Amino acid sequence: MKNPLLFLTPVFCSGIFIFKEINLPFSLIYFPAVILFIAIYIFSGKHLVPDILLCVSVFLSGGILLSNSRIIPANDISRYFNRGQNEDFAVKGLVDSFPEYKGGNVVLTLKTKEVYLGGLAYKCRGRLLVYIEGNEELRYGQELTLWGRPYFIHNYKSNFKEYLSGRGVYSLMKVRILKESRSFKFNPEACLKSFIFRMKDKLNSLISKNLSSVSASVLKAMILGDKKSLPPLINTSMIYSGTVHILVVSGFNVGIVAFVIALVLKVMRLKRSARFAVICPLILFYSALTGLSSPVVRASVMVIVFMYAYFVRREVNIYNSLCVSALFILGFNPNELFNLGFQLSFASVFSMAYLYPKIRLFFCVDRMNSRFLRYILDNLFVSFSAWVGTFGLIACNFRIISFVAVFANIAIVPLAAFITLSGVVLVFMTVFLPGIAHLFAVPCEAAVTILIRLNDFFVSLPWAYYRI
Amino acid sequence: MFNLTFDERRVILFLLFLILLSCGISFLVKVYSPAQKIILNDKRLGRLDINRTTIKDLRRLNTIPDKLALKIIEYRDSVTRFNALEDLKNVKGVGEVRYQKLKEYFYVE
Repeated sequence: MKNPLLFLTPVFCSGIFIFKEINLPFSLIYFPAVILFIAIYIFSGKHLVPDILLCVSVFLSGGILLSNSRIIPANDISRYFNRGQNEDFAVKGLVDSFPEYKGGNVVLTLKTKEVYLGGLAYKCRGRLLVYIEGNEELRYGQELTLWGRPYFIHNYKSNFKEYLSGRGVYSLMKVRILKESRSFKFNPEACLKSFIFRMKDKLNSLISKNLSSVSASVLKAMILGDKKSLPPLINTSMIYSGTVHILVVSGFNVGIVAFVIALVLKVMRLKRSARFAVICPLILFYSALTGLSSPVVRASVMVIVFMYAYFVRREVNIYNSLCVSALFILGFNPNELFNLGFQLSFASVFSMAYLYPKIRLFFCVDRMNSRFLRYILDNLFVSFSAWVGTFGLIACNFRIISFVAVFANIAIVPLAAFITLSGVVLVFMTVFLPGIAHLFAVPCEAAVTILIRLNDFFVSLPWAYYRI
Repeated sequence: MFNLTFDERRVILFLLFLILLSCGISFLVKVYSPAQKIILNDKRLGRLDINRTTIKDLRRLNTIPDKLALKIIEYRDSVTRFNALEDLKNVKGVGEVRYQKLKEYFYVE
């Protein structure tokens, strides 16, 4: 088999999926898997291991990972909250996320260290989702002592519960008393994360400084994955036209950024190895900057695999690199399998990798003389392949079938690529040559305006989309 | 079925071993991590220093009416600082019943 991972990855995913449905205790999956593994190991030296045993082992390992990720530790903060309902608790911990300001509240996650109840302090672990009334200026890594009413997420709707538990959060708290500690303990991970958050904040303000509010909100969504200031009308309109994927940082954006960096390094005539050494950390940094969502991690891993293949002069196999990135993401967090972003990202890329060459071959695109026609058809087929791969998921989750998506993407995707490129250049210019940055803001502003108008045009067409 | 080479098989087996080992250790840590108790009876926990508290802090408590919160701050700033929690009874609108409730939220440094 040329692509063994293409078979083993779905087996691994089905292990995660099935064990989520049947919900067996960890030990009931773990011990059979250990016995099976020992048996395989004993016989592997004699080349007697049937592939089916290997498949069963991979299947069970998916289930083990999921089951393990769903065990709430004995000293998790939610265990304490579960003991006494309708009681206020005090909790001490570190701010573990970028504080967001929503509806008059500051929302953040707290990495808990101690919980206080009944005059006693207990050491604890786990993350807590916190709502603090007001607009307190809090920073990542800051130590807080909070007092308030805790809620265990099992009382919440299943979607919200799934979303939070997938991120290791099992309880939330509405804060009544907040005490901040201004001291920051040195922690390399916290320092790096804090630097990334500050950098993101700085880039946000640089973009806002040069563009109008609407254009800045679109560019922030496209480059930094920050959709807070994006007008809801634009977002909805792009869902209808099937082009909303350009408004989140996805593989498309990572690809463009990687391409720009590679191009600059090539112009600087750096050696192949040096280019590889520079691109990889920069791509990882960009992924961290945009929040490490599934599509970004998928694209980053694929770019690194592609770059490594290029570096060692080996042929790139898109299926294997796609599977490696899926296994990488699921190995860290098997709950990502149930994340819509993960599903859409992998479905679209797999569909493009599988269908596009076949459609191209079927219509004999290579034999066509007109270069323009070839370009149009290529874009059409890529767009169609992605649409085929994702329309089922979109129909199920958004209750919309966008018929205009294939054609809208042909026009909007190249424009989005231009906006991303000009946005990156604008940010660089604002940092290094602020005097002439406004010159680069003009094409960016114009392109965003055209993008919004073009999208409105596609949405206004008869039968552009159908609501289920 | 897969036509995997011997080395490829070994890599897959090694990865499976790592998954089994890490999940086993993680399971043990999660299940057998005891709740470590530290005796600490700090009167300041979950309470506000009445001489430093702001109107914003009092509003966040959701238990003190805005008017009363303003009266407490006014009393503290205009008359004198609170020397003891009993001084709260001198604020207009705070009787014995309300004082019993309020003293749970404050301390005097």
